[in-house]
Amino acid sequence: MSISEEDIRQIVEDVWSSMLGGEISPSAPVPPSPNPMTGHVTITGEWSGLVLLDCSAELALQITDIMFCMEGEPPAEDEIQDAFGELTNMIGGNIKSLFPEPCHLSLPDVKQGGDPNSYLTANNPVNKLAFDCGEGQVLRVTVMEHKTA
Amino acid sequence: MRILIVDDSRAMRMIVKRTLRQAGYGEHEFEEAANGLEAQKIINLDPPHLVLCDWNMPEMSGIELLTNVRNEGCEVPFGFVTSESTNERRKQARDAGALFLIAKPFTTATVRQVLDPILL
Repeated sequence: MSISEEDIRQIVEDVWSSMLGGEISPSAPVPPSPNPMTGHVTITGEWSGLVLLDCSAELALQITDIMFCMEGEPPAEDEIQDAFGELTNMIGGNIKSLFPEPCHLSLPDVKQGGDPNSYLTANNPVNKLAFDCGEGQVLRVTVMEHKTA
Repeated sequence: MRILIVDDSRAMRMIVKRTLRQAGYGEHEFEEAANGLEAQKIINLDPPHLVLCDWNMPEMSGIELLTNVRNEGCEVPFGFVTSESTNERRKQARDAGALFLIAKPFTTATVRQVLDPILL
């Protein structure tokens, strides 16, 4: 089943503006960054799949700076994982609400240097969106449905 | 008043505290727990005046925490702050004894609207 790209877009923009401040806007599709930060949550139940976020390491750092109010201090690795994981959780959790109930949301799984294309083995991309976050940085949000046997 | 903030994300705990201060609750004392198990130990030792709790956490989820707390006869005011705000979740929260469910992402105005009747 598919969900509305407009709904996904609204969710991502709302989460970004409420939690990080500033505005983001739809971007043309782009390939993954080299050595990207990836985060995903799995949804199981009436619908099974995952919500995957990926971006450059630099954007992940900016996100962490804002969430933790670092004020110039470089964040630690676990802080970057925490911040990106929470962003993934918020976007994924809200996207989960678009699917029929009941569905269960996993905890976020975050990796530096993960390969977004590796998820295609077991999943079909249903929605692929990209967001211009300013200064040439793009956040990619992909909704994927588990392949059935 | 003591407010216990329960979330496995330290970033989110910081955001909740910042928002509480922006909403005018900065004079209250904030405590933190990284999961339901940690929170239960704090509540058993000395119940806070309010618990703000995430739903999905390792070790013990927010709904498990609330169920355990209520089963032990503790009536501490308890609310969820979660990215999952479906009708099913809200009903589950109410049935377990939660006073409210604040959806992430949240604004200062929403937090004030929900917490003013409890904290003022």
